[in-house]
Amino acid sequence: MKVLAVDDDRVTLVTIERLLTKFGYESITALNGTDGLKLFLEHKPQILITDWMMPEMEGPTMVKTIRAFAESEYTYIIMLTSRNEKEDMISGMLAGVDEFLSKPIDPDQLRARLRVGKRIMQLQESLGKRVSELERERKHIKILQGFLPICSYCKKIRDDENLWSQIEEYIAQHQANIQFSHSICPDCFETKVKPMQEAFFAKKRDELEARASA
Amino acid sequence: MGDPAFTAELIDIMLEDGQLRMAKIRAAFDQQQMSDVGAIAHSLKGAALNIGARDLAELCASIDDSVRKVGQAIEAQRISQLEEEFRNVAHELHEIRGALTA
Repeated sequence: MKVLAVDDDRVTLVTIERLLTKFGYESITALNGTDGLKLFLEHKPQILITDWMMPEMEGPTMVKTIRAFAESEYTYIIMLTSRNEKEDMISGMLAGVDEFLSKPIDPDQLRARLRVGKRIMQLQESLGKRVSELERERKHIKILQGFLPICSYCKKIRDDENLWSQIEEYIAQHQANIQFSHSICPDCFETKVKPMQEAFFAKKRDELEARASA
Repeated sequence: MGDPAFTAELIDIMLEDGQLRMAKIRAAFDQQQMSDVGAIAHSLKGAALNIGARDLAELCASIDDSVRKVGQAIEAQRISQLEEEFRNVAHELHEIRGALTA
């Protein structure tokens, strides 16, 4: 797991770098916020450890910028501080800090916080994978929903419960905003209605003629 | 961390950076740039804490607090006191460094 450490104090930075290697993390370091931001964008570390007060760009400003950049990928951010005042901690958290670590660096505390960060990042990763899986499944369902089984002869539709219904009935059930106004198309008029009309009038004519000759 | 070579490396960095910071504090003080004095003192405090130089860290913290919280100008005497304490720390660090490489 990649960890970026940013601090303008080289003693702190060298100590953190050493501890990160000892704890099995891949470390990247920067001596100010501007370089830290560049390295962050280049390496996309999963965990960031940063000092509060630094020249060029202070820790909270760098954190805010990183949070503004971040889209789907989360970074667990630990802020090093020798400022333990409540207001400072609140403003750090509002900037996007997840955890604080007091100076001087205590190796056990650093290891514990890194473990929390690692756990959060692993959860985040598995959550991301699950969301991707669900999105894929949703797309698949949408494709399946696009198929509508219809009888080739009578044009009845089969629903999810395996029941067949007339197309008007099916659409009325599944598309609440649609209502049918029945009519007859010219083709059906020619093939269906006209022969019926002709048969009807022929029958009437025959009846009249029979009545007249009686 | 129980590694003499690493301890020696930290001492070298602390001495080099510490001297640089002390020079910057003096320059900022001479120009009456109090916010710079406070920021450099804050930075030196972190380094001092890391090597266990508590007295030096406390002096740095008091200067940082005076500037940041109270907006107070720092008297020349406090800068001299800080320089004196840094010299003491540097002397001790040189002795430890010497013992490590002996």
